[in-house]
Amino acid sequence: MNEQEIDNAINMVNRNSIYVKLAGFIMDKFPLFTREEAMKHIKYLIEEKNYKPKDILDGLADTYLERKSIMKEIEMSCVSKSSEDKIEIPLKTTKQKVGKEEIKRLLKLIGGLTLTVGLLISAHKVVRDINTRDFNKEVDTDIGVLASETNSVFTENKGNIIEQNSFEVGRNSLNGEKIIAYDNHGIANDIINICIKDINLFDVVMYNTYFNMPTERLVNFEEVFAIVKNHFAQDEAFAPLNERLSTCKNALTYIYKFVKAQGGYNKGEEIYYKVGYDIEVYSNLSNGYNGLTSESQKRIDDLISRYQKLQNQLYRDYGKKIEELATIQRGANNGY
Amino acid sequence: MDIDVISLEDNKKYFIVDTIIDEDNKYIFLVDRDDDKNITVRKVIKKDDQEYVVKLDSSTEFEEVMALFNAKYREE
Repeated sequence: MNEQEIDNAINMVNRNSIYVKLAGFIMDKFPLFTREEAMKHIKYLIEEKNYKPKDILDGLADTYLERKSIMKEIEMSCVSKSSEDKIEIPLKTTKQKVGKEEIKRLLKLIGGLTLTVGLLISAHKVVRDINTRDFNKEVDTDIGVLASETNSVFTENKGNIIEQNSFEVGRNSLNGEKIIAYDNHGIANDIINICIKDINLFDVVMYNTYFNMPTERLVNFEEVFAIVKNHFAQDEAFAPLNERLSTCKNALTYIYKFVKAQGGYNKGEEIYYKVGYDIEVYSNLSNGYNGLTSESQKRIDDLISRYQKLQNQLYRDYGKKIEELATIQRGANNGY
Repeated sequence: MDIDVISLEDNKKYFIVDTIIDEDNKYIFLVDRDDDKNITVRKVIKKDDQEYVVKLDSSTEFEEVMALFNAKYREE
């Protein structure tokens, strides 16, 4: 397997992950879509129409915002603005004959309204329902945050989006250059909200969030780490996470140390760092490798296999430099 | 089928398409008889054995009522 093939393989895994997340986004915003239809639609847009995931998300977000605006108007007609607006109208009704199908149609009209509003408020309800909702039954290892260039989307195992955040434009912490739009605080908040509900999901959600990020967004991930860590440091309940955050942070620091030392990195090295770090995160899962599903284990095995092949190739390509890198990496791993 | 019709503060007539009772609150879901794009929701309160229709108290209540309707028909 050459570097291009490895690159393609990793891109394929990332792409499939993005397809699933985008399909979840579509289903949540447009409930009439089944998962199969949503996936088909996404594949068509990306593979045949050459849309980028970001373009699709932007398009969906625009439609979503348009609906939100309409919903706001309806809400205004339902909610009293002041005590003067709270007019009490005696409930006096007359009867009118209407066909059964017409009543069904009217119900569907309201249903469409409530579904859209339901989507808009779901993020808040998750927080509000924390004491009554059995969150553990709703999430599994697929939970994570999809970070596009303009927003972050917090997903459940069914691909349902709970929260979407606006974006900010950040700067590369290594060189200060302006980079693509992203939302570090939004992503961090999503992660924090998940961990508030179940502290044991921390590793999984961090891994999945990382995995959903393009390689060039490693810098963002480091900053997300910093925000999450800062939040947890202020709450004793999250003390166990601080230790693991420290480990992940160490891993990232380690990666950056070498990126910086080499004064830049090419695609091959990017993959090297990404896959290497994937393994680091997985190795820190609270239940360890054996606690993962067989599907996740296969994913790790695949990653390790590709990592080893890539490492061998990099050894050939970079010789002594990489040998030094591996030596220091082993030292760093022993310290974890 | 017979459906109830009510006049609101805008003097328009609305079909009462559905009623949902949640704990102590009763909500009615209304569609304008002459313009089905005009959908609204009201709360029914009781005073001295007489029922009155009022607007909702807050955006939060609006969201919760929407969720109630959604939950009622989700399985259908």
